[in-house]
Amino acid sequence: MKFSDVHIGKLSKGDKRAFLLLYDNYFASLTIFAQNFGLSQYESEDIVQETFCRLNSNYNLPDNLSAFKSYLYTAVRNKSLNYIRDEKRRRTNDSVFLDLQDDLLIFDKIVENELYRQMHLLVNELPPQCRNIFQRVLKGDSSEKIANDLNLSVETIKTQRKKAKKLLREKYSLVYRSLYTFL
Amino acid sequence: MLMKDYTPFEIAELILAKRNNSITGGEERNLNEWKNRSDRNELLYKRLLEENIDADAVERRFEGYDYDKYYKDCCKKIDKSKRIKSIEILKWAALILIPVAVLSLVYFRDSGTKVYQAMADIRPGTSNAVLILSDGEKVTLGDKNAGDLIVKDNIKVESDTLKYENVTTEKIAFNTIIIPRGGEFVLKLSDGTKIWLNAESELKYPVSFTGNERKVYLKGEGFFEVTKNEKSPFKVVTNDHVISVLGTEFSIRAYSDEKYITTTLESGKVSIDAGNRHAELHPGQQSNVSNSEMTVKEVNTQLYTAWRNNKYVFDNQSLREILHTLSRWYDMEVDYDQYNLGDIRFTGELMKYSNITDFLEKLETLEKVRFDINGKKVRVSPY
Repeated sequence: MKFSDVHIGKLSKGDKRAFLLLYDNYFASLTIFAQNFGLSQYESEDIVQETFCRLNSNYNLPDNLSAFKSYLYTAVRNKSLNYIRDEKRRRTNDSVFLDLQDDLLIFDKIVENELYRQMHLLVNELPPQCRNIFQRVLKGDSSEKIANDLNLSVETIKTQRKKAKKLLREKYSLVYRSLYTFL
Repeated sequence: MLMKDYTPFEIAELILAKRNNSITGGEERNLNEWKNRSDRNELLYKRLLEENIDADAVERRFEGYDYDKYYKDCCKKIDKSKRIKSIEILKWAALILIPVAVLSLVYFRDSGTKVYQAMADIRPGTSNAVLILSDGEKVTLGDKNAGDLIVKDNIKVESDTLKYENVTTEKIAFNTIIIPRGGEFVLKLSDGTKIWLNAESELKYPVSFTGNERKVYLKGEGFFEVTKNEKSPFKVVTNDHVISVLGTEFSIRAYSDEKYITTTLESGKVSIDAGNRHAELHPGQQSNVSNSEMTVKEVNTQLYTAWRNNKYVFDNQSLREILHTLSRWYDMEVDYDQYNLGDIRFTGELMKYSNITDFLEKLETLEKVRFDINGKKVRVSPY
């Protein structure tokens, strides 16, 4: 399910369902974003975690999604830069870090990150079994192998593949376009 | 023309819609307009749209990111903070009379939800002004949707500009344009001189120029693009502060509630007389005059003239100065919990037509001050 405007206010009240959606929709994306600043995956995860946990009891959150996203990205960016500054770490490649203080570059990174995030969400919105089979197809597994692994009939797998194809074609022509050969 | 300032989120949505073939005509026009603004935009557009990003690549990007453990940790923290909150409330109830506790709970709950309802009260300004003709008649200018307006022969309004063309009068007739808080307007005088007037400003000028000088009277802030005429110098007068120019571009800030009259020169040459002081400015220089004391320094003119291009730029300025400037445009009042909070310095910029809350939130992320908005009031408190 998509995290939307209505969930923002619920974060302030410590609503766990709203937090689950937040983690599901944004945790990976923001972690990937923070790694642009030269942080490790583990360090980035910590920064995103700190940002998220502080949303509880924060009654000053923006009330529309666009402003809220902007708030999240800005907070992660600032925390990342502060972290690097505070640690005074020797950076293997200083120029990477310095360039990323450039607002234009940040803009590009956010556009890219958001595009990937939304595309990922599309796949995630498939029904569970459909999605599971779909991801195995992506790995290059044959219908027979998937049937064997999941203890299902080859016929079921083929039906699910058709279903995935139909769903993706209806809603998500972008994924469908590049997956035509798989399904 | 006003250029819309897109957020990266809007661009991402447009690119996604384009990839999905679900983009509307209007959205596509916007996306193309954005793409054509710079090579950089076009490059990004091509990279994200024309290259084939397959679902496999998307899924691989997100592999190995498991939020489960982090989510559970966060839930624990939420539970803990809820427990602490309820214990604190119980303590208060025990210590203080119950009615007081109840009242305070009601109060806090109310203030918590009201903050964001109230936000809509602070809005960016609009193009609007009041024109006072020489016979005392008042005309309200503004509302871009109303289309062009002919005020009088040869005096007309086109979009956000008031124009005087080929006006000839036998005796000198003065008009006055008043820009309220939260307003701005552009004026084109009979000699072709163009003046951008910022919020809370006033300019008195003759409908046509006769004789050997062109004299106008300013209160507040204006950016002048003066048409060259060596036979008739252009003069901007504020009290006893006089700027004389031949043909040039410069900005003046002369608000009566501010200490200095500031003149910033972008190009050409101006001379300034104030009391018995005199100075000549060269491009990139700025003069500050206060009680006939005058100083001249080199500045980054952009900081002082960006407002004309729909932008406010602040470079290492105190919060007090920043909010004072913004309060004219957003027509808001500012209160400081502690006076010295206003001395904290910030660097940043905002588009004039954007929402003030976005800007204040950016400042908040620096974790020095916090803003609460109530009606048209902004309260500044420690972070």
